[in-house]
Amino acid sequence: MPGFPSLAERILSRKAGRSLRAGQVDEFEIDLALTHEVLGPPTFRTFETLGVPLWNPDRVYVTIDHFVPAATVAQAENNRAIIAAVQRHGITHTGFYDGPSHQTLAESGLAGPGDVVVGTDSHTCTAGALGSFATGIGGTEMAGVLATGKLWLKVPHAISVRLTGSPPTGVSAKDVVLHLLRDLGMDGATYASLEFGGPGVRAMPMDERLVLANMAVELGAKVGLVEVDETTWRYVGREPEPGLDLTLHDGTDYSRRITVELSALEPLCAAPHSPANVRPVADVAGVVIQQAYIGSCTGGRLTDYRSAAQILRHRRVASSVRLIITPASKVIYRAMLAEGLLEIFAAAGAIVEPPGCGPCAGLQAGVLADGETAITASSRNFVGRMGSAGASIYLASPATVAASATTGMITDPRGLLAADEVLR
Amino acid sequence: MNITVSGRRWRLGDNLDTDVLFPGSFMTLTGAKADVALSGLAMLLPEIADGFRPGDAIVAGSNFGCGSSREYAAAALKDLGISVILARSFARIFFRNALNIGLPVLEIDRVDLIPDEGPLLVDLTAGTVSGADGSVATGTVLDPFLLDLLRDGGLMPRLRARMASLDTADGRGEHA
Ligand code: SF4
Repeated sequence: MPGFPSLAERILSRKAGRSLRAGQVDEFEIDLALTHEVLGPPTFRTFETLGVPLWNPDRVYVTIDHFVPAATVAQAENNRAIIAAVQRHGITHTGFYDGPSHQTLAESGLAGPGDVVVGTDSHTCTAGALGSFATGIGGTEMAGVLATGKLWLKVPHAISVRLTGSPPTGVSAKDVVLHLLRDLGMDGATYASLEFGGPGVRAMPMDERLVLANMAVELGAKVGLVEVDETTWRYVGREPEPGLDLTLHDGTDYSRRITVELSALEPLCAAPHSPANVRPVADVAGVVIQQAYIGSCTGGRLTDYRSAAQILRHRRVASSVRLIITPASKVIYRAMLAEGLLEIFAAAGAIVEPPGCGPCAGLQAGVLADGETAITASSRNFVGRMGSAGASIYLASPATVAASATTGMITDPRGLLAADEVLR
Repeated sequence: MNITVSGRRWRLGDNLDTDVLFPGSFMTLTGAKADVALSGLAMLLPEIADGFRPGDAIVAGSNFGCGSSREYAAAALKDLGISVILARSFARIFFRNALNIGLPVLEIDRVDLIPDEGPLLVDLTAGTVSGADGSVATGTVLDPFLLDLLRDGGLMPRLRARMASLDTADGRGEHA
């Protein structure tokens, strides 16, 4: 007898109106389609060659988030092209210059438990934290979605990740994902639904859950789904839907079961040039850096900035380092202002950029020179990702990035946090 | 569906990412450019810069095309004239992108069995790669649905055909 359906199987079966199991292929109605100014213009051009109207202008969400504000004429042309496409097709939901689409989409309430969301961006999986079956697709495929509102999907097999205990000081969701990358590698969850649950997840605020789902793609996963509870329903601003149970079930046939005891984790970082090249921060402590970045759809949320501010409160950024802060949305930016976090970062000597992708993909202010080294709270450290192919990128939690910015070299945040504890 | 590869096979390792194939800084309106992918590949295989000929194939390790969803990566390889990509596994978005634009891909677990010399016969329907030396490497047969997609030349030709048949079916010649 087949086991209890996985989260992915439950969502897709409900959508299809028939019971579906891993490996089956079906066509699904799309609840929300996301595109942005980088991959949107070619997508709309392809779509328009079909000569049909857009399937539903209220089900499309379009953002300008990478080229904010435009740094080159070519970028400005992309921004202009996407605005024109939105107007041409009467698209109602937009997030222009508001921050990385994955964060602004989460804040918008447009996606929630049980929805099927696709986007022309690999981190579309971030919405899995809201209980949506959310995944990245290419531009041609999106052109098809814009025309028909439908997409074929193969139901993925599932891997469960149960988090237990609570994380020690200086450890956050980013360290959890790095821990998984160390264990599974970059293809450890290829084609899979990575399903997060357990008491450790339920204790996490949405900010942290979004990090888990966001980096599921770094493990190769098709979706990263997080158990749905009151925190989820409250965050998306919807009434809990009776009968929609999206919690992990012991009777599910997971292809792999992983348990992470949070209290046993330590601050981790991914060394160049792979997100899976993970080691304890303590092992690479002392590597000299020129840039530190706290932002992106992975590491630019309020919880991230609170943990960075804890370290930067009484410290200054080292004179040899540029610390770049790029809030992941205008909502977050204003909350940082209200909480006094921007004041702390300004006093510490950080560079605060407008909400957007910032230097994450090497497209905006903050590119790296040949031979430079950066530590970043974002998600990828491939060769050339943030500028020169001769630069080195380390991925770490916002706390580790903040600690490293103050010393000018990779630094375990626990030492600084412990020192603060003594002084208090 | 058969593909004959008479050109060279370029061997790559695991986790080839889309930032290498198509760096973000090229992603503006100008579209896919074959030379972008070629220079990216040349970072890993310097000989490919001068040695590549249309019709050549890529033979790679696991998780080929990981990273971003940028279709440019697959489109640039297609523009280059790559006949087929044979890899131990593909990152899922790249896999879909390739099939959607009509670029053949096949998962072959034992890529080491594929010979570097002599012509190769790639039988996509059977999921096999046969060498002139008699070697046969067996892979994961594509879903019939995906084979059809490749036969149609990708998603756009297929959608155009679908739209055209709708036009005829509803007799109005345009869509409401
Ligand atoms: S912040 Fe980085 S990873 Fe996120 S959408 Fe922007 S470029 Fe992509």
